[in-house]
Amino acid sequence: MKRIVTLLLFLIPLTMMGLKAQSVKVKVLGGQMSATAKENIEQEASSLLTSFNESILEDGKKLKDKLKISFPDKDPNNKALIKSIMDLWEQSPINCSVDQVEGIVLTLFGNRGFQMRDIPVNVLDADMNNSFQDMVLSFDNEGHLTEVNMQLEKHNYNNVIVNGVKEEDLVRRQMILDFIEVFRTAYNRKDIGYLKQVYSDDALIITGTVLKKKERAKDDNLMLKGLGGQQYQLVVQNKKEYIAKLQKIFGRNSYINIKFEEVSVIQHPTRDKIYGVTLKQYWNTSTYSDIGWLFLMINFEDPMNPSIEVRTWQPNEYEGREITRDEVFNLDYFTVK
Amino acid sequence: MRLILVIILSMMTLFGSTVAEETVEMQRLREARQKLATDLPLHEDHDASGELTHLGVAVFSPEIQQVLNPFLWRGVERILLRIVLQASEAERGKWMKENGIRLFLEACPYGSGPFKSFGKAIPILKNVTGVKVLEDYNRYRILITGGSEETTLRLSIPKERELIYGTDKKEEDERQSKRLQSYQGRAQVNLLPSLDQIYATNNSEVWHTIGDVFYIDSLCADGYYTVKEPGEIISPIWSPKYPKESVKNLMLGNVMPEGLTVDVMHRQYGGRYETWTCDWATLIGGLKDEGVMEPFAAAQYMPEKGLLTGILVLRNTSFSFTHMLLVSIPVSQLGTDNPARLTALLYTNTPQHNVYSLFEEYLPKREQKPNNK
Repeated sequence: MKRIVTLLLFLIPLTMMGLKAQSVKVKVLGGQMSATAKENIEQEASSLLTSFNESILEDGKKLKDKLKISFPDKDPNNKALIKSIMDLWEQSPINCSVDQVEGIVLTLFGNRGFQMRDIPVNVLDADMNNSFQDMVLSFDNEGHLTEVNMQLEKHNYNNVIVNGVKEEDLVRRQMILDFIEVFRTAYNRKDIGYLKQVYSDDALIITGTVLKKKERAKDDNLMLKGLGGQQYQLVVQNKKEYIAKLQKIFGRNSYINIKFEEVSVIQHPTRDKIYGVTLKQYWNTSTYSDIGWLFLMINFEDPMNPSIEVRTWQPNEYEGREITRDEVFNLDYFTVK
Repeated sequence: MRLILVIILSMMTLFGSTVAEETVEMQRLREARQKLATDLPLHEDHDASGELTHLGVAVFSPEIQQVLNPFLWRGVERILLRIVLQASEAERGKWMKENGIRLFLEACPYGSGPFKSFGKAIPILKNVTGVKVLEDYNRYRILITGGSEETTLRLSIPKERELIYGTDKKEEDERQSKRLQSYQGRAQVNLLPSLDQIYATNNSEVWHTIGDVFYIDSLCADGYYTVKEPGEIISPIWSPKYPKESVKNLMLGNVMPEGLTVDVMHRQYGGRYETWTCDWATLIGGLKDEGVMEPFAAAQYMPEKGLLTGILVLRNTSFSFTHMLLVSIPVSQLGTDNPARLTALLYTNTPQHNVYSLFEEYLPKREQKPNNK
């Protein structure tokens, strides 16, 4: 499906906020329909996407009122189209990030009308990795809009069923999730006593800090200006050094609010009591925030008292791009004695 | 009957929370309210000792409070108050972003267009005319309509127990412990399935229902039964002849033997343990009696030691957490009229919302895929 995107320079600030051009023009590039149907498809799809954008940016203007104007022959209370649009809108407002959408219209089997797919939209109330989705518009044989749906299926990680795993292993992994939550809570509570206890005395600890960007003077070296992204500093520490530094951080911040997301648990291939945990850490304090990837090697020899043998941190972004999970430290980087 | 049960449940939950100490969140809210004046209508609750147990923007009417999960409606009101009481727009935006909270005025996101200032939302919160709660697998969306122009304020919050309950793991583990120890109710045995709900196993004497699975097939909600002719009488299995099936039935509540007691060791924040002894039916009743807790059970059998371990995972999908109970049961106790004391290890409030992969595959460095730039 061919798609041409045109961005207008003066709308870039709105783009960065996820809000985009008010007016959207839809153009049909091909398909088996009459000239009248083609014109209706283009006009109604354009009206719909423009209505979405206008409803976001205009104070107090409701989508339902706009749809009454855009589709005067659809009874707002009864017709399936308005209901399907309002049901979607209720889940989340949507805007179209581009001001021109081109595509081929598919003919539905059995003379049931037409469909236009892969229409790029921004779902404003979705998680960051799900916010850009594709919309599907359905039309009757005359090219009038009948239904609006989203293409992306919801992803529920917990629905994955795993084969060949014993109950004991699952129980241990649930204990690890519990341990991780206690670990996170300890930072938020500034519980130095617990953190001293949970890090092994021989723990290898790598911490990192994102450095603040310096203001660049106009005559700065162009190469410096070309360096994208943030700069960061990684430091290797032993337990004593790390705890001392943590105590200072706890002392100078009135609050700490750390979140852990995207937690994954891996068992060591030969040492079944050793687990690796990778997670995305959102570090927020009253004076500093960053996002990074944490790797923890956890020793479960004593399941009632697990200990952290390795703790590494890597920034989420490097050289202007987000790092992938494959680039995060894992069990294979470390020798287990 | 359902409304009465909801009211009773709400009262029991309220009773449970009235014996709690003031949480860090409550303290924070109370202090913020003293510093920053607000004339919004508020809901405020105290326990018997006068301790503040709820403080939030009054959004939900008493009628709606009775049908919604109390943690949810109280959480929403409290979160709204946290948003209101932030000292500046910058701090408000920061706090919301840190906690994955999104706010929209009609369709306009907070901080942009006509919704740059939170003040635009105040007329709606001062005069709420309608509330709608939507839910998907990982978020709640609360649509609050109000103000002179019937404008809608949309609050979108992640399904995270800590955010919605307003208690961290330490506080919640302690609250659960107190609640379970003082719980007076008892779990009732599950209703028997009908003949069309049971399926054959490899053993001609054993039939099972098919329930949901938690990660692995053996940790599931399947129940086990015998069917006796004539009359096709279904009975749940509780016999040393079928130890694993019996333990799973016990965990799931398909059997509830009289006189069975359990020594509970509750592992809490920081590796601390709280221990107590109670009836098995009381423990299970207490664990299940707060919101919708889906049970999954498994059994491990060590015949050489005559030991059975029962595993019970209770999943709360409303707020994305689990409780886990690991129970040791001597085989000799199955089917007996004189059940012994069981021992159980309890883990509570384990978050599930942030799990990407519980069984990530180990890949040596040299086999990992190259970067795709």
